[in-house]
Amino acid sequence: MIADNRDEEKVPLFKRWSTWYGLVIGFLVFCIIVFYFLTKHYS
Amino acid sequence: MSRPDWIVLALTLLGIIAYGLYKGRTTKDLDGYFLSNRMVPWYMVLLGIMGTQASAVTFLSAPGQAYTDGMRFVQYYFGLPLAMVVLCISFVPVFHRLKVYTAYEYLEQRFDLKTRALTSFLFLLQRGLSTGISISAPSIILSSLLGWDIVWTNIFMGGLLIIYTVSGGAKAVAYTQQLQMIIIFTGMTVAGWLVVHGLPQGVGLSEILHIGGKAGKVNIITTGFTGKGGGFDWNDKYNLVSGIIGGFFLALSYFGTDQSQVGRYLTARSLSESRLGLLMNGLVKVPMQFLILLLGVMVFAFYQYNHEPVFFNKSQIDLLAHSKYKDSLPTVISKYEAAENQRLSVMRSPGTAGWPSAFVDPSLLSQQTEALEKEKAGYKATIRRWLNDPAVGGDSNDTNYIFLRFVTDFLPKGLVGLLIAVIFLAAWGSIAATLNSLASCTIVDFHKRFSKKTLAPHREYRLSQLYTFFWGVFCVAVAQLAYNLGNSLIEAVNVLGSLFYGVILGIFLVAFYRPKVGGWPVFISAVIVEIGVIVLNILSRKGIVSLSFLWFNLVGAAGVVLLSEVLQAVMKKKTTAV
Repeated sequence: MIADNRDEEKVPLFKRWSTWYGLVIGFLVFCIIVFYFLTKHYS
Repeated sequence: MSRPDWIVLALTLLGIIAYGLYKGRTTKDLDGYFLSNRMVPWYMVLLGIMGTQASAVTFLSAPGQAYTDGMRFVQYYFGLPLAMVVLCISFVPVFHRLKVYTAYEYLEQRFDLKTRALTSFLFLLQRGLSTGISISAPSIILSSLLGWDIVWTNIFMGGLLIIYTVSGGAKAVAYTQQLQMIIIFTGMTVAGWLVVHGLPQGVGLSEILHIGGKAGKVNIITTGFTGKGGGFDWNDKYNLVSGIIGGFFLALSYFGTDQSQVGRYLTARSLSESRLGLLMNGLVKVPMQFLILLLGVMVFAFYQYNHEPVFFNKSQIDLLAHSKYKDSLPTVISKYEAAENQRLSVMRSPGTAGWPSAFVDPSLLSQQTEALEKEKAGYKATIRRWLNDPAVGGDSNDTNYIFLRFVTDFLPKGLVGLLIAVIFLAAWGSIAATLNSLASCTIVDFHKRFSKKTLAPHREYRLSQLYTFFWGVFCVAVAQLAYNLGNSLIEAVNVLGSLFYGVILGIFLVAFYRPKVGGWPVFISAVIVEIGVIVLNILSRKGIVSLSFLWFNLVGAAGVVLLSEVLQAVMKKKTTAV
């Protein structure tokens, strides 16, 4: 086990990783909302 | 199966083995064999993560699940994207910084050797057994529907992949998973297109959803508040609450502490590529699962216009034909067939369902066919009751046979072979990654750690190959024994995972978030809570406690975190008093 301190790498596409995290969570919320309306509409 | 099907199946499987052998050439040391020299790009990490999680049962069972129970199963995956975010923040940077081979290596540095060994042992025990069952479950389905010999099906399902997994290690696993996922998505897309193609003109996606909705199959979001007096039903497996909370802990445990998954993203060429692979998994998993379930609703709509068998698993009808019900069976089947034919004539007559002219009104369908559907349901219930008779010893759960029966009955020659290959490849992707991880834990966490001899890199490489081969043979042997265990193998895999995942996750949560807790408190807590979860499972099975297995993950994780805090405080007090 060798310690490596190169944690800080370039974030792809965005400036910060937090934007990626927001995107993933936001997309989940979007999916749940779409699924909710699909359920309401077709049931 | 026809000759073209056999040719497609054989070529696909042989092609994957050859591709794995060709692409699996790597440096002959542990870094090459278990980590692909840390050279894998993010999209291969993504396909590896998805290929490891999606087993054969995922593609066999999920469409059948939607057909019988509706699409609410998708909620089971709602916790996954949240878990991906937590992993990227907490777990992955630590694993990368320490350059570990296994997740459990970190635990020795954080706690002590015994905690590392215990956690790695729990993983080996759980994964070794559940992989054996994972081989057996699709083998049983294929052998039941296609009349294949179960022993040989198990050997092909779990044995052939050993060739390239032993030879090329993680690199062979990563490259074959990439190709396997492409073939799987192609096969499932073609199957979906053919379902829609087989529906009457004018019946498109919206009409399919209307038909499914009328029958309660478009229940994508359910709250779970269906218990007594409108309270929350803790026994309900799939709802918004259990999906987000239970699913979160399950996904966090599976992706953060199960070496079969950790081993995939440790192969990435950088921390960013690992993170990106995991976050992309968080983005695509829920829509992908939605589409697989939608395929089940499409098949349901298809059977509204086509002959639906009284029971999809043919072998169970054969079983009844040789049981004490052999005289009553023909009467029930002929009555069922009469009702089904009458229903089909209503569905196909112009002006009602609109066969083959345009689709008219879904509400009209249910009015005209409701009585016939009720009659059919009665005959199906009779068949299930007979199969549940201990004297018959049948399997009344037909869910896993629905999609494959549709494939064998309605898809054209050649495509049946491709879809059977999809099932094999899905199994191989998942099993190959697991064998690689079982071998890495055996050599890194036990052999290397406890051996007094220092081995040369090429000797470690050979030994790793040997351990991969051993675990491959072990899992196939478990699969042969699992066949005799009973019918609920798929649930057995999920329950087995939930028994151990929570405790393993608890140990990692303490490691990451409770820096003052030491080795002994977490070790003792893990042993006590593990026993507690096993007891809870026994009580749940006997009906004394009403709790779905998905919650065991939460109980195990929370139990270890809380108990280790208490023990740490007690031990600190004693030390101070002395």
